[in-house]
Amino acid sequence: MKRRLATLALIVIAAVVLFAMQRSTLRYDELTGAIPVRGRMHEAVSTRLFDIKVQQVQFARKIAYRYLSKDQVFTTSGLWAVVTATLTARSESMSIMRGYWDGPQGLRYELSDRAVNPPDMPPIRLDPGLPRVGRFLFEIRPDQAGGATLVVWPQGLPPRLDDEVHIALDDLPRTADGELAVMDVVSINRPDGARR
Amino acid sequence: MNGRTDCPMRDDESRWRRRSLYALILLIPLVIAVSAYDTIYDWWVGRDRLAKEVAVNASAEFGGSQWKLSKFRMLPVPAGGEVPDGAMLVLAQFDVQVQQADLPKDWRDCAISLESPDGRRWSATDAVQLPRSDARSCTRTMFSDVKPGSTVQVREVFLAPRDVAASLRVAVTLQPQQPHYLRFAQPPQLMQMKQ
Repeated sequence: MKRRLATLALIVIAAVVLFAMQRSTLRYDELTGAIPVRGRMHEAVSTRLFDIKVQQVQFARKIAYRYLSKDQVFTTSGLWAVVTATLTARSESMSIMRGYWDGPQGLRYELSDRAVNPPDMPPIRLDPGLPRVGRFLFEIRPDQAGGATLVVWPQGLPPRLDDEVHIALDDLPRTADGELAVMDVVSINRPDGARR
Repeated sequence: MNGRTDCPMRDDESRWRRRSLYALILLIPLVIAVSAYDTIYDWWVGRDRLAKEVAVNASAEFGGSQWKLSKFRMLPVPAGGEVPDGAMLVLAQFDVQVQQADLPKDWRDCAISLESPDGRRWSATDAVQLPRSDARSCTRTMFSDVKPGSTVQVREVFLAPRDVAASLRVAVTLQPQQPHYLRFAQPPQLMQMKQ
């Protein structure tokens, strides 16, 4: 009787262990996928191809910029988020093509393509030894603003067994009572004073 | 029923099992080598690994053409526009005598770049507009129906940091020639911007 119970216990334990192993095994595309390099705002993050340091996040109900000597204003039913960063290539010239806003519940927003040819936005051409300002523009749902992550890839395709930057956007603009500060208009022209 | 002693594995069967096991030691690495050969070969050959050095003022035969670096200049640029702070404009221009070359084939993936002593590479930029001239970029020359025997001017512009600009050298990459590439020993010459 005791022996049978022991056998039964062993079978149950084996089943549990096997189930856990099956559940925790990564799929092939996860095993060979991107290698996240995590960081925070105001902190230099290095990947194989480039360095990035996120300086600022701004939220706005409207964005304004000048294109073909006309002032353009875009409104949104959600929220505009503008992420400003400094980027440098490491060993060879390259371009940053993609950026994503990963919301706190896992909603992923691609870059907004509503503004045509805005300055300093992807594709951002980078050269070794020449740091430059790059900006990422997103149109998000207001509840996706806090606790988000900026994900950046170089070039076009998703990285395979290569670095992918994940930067926690943890220094958001706040009002005095702790609410997120949302500006009425953010200008996405070249920042004044950044260049002479 | 079948006791372990009254049914021994037949001698030749166990021998063959052992041989098969030993064969795996050879076969597995062999299979890996055969299936990965193309990838490894492409990786080993498809890079600029072996520089063909070209002396100052000399020319070199490469991809069915004779390459001569005619101008290699650096110009300080005022920051502004698309140019990052601390950048130097570097211009490289070649006189290329096209001999028996089918350019779209012999110059495939043609790229001119700058190389620093520590191995960093700068690609040509289109952020800076140069005055119009007969010179064209490498890729545009490749598709412009050049007659064999004629000489064309190939020009590219780069943005490089001021502190390393003087140590940069020009490299020419043509995919059919890889892993060989041309590297010109000539240092860039500092020019002043015309006011």
